Amino acid sequence: MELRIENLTKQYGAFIAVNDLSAVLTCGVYGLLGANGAGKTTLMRLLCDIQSPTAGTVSYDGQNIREYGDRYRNILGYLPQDFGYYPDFTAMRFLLYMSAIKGLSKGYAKQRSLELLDEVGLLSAKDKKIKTFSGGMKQRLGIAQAMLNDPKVLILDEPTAGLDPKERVRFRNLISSFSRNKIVLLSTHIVSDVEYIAGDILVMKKGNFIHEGRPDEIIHTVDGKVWECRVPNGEVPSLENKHNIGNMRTEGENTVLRIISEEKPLESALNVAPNLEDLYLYYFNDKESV
Amino acid sequence: MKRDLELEACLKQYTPPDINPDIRTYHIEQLSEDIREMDYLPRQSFAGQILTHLSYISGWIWLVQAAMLCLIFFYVFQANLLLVNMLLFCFAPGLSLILIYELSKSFRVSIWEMEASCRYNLAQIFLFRLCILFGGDFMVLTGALAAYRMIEGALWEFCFYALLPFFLTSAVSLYLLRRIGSRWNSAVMAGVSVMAGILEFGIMSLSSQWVSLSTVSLTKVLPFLTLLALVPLIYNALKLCTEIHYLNENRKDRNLWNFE
Repeated sequence: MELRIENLTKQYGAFIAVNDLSAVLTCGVYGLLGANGAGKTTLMRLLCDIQSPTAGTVSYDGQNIREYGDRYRNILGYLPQDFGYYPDFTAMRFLLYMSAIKGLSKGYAKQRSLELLDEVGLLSAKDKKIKTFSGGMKQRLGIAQAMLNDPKVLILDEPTAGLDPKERVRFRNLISSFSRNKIVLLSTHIVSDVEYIAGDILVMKKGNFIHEGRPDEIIHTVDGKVWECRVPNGEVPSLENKHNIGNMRTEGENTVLRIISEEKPLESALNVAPNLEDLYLYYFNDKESV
Repeated sequence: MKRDLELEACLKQYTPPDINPDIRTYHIEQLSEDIREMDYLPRQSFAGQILTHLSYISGWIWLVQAAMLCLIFFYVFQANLLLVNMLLFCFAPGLSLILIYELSKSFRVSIWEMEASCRYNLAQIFLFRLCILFGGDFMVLTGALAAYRMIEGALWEFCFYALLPFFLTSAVSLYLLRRIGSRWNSAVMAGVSVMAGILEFGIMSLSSQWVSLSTVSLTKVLPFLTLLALVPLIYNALKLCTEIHYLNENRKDRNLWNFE
């Protein structure tokens, strides 16, 4: 099972949202990292056959998804960034509606909906209207609808937005248990989410993949560029202007700074091991980060 | 009430038996097995799909349509042809606009992306909805025609006062909805309403001349000819919004609802 992206380009007038991308996704969880406007959502829409590419193809097991049509959509689960719902629907009715347009049989839809509501912790709220739900509950419902047809390709655009830490842990476990023999692609700004569950990470900037690989491999690209130093509180503003600050922690009169920089920022700075957040800040901190 | 309280107290005393974990696991496994064996993607006929979608159409649509029909009948029974004509002229674009309003609800609540990624994609969902909503409108228009004939209104007049504004508004709204895109949905609806109002006002002001000329045979034929001329526009609008034309054509060339 593979999803092959070949020279995929999407252009809106003169603006190139997705620029000649190529990648092969096989079973596993892929994290898509990128700043706002990097082209993540456009890429996901292209992979879901919602938008048509300007050039290039996406093929599933060797067949172009545009020709595959409904057979491809039968094995697809998608949670968009803007999760919409009919406000008067209850959670159960919403899942049954989504099941109907996914073409699932009524009996299966009912059982599967209950099963998923239980898995995402919404079984007790199944008869409540979605408009009364909190942001996290809506997001969990969105995740449940994406899994209704037991998809082989699951595409989640910012699935953890609006979830509290406990819900995020529950979501990560859910995705991990679900990802066996499936292709899962999730985009997020919350770096720790992909760090924990993604086997591979695709870093996207200005419509291009700038890095692709396992988290530990990708992190090595910023080796030697992350520094920690302790400075008096008064020096912090000037350092903030000069350098890319990853983290700061006040300890009495001093502040411990984590600086991402090509060169040693201060004599007293010590080189430390980078993490995925440092990598994100390294690539996406400048003003033209997208 | 006392009995209820007694029953409640009695139930509270009841302690449920412990669930045997083996039996629980067995039943869960059995359920999972049943789910796996189910044919969960059955082929469903077009009529089956229509019936499925029928239950997801907003209920207020039917109420509005029924209210419109009742009002028409009310004036028909008062044998007031002029008022009925005016009513038809006002209601026909409205009948079409509520169809478009319900049709385009996917965009209003931002659910279109999810719908587009499903087995029955957005174009097909629109087709199902169009069939259902147009079915309702068709019944209203047929009822109105039957009532119109009761007070000996001419068929050409019915075409002029009801069908023309209905189809014209429908075609233009569908066309604009598809062409302009989701973000401008409200603007489209407002624009079409204003346009329909202006058109209506213009034609109404000319209607007295039309009626006085109604003995001329060309005048009687004109609404039918205009309706005929509308057919390609309606067909194109439907083609844009649904996948009707893909049934026998190469799917590679299909347009998606991509709002670029």
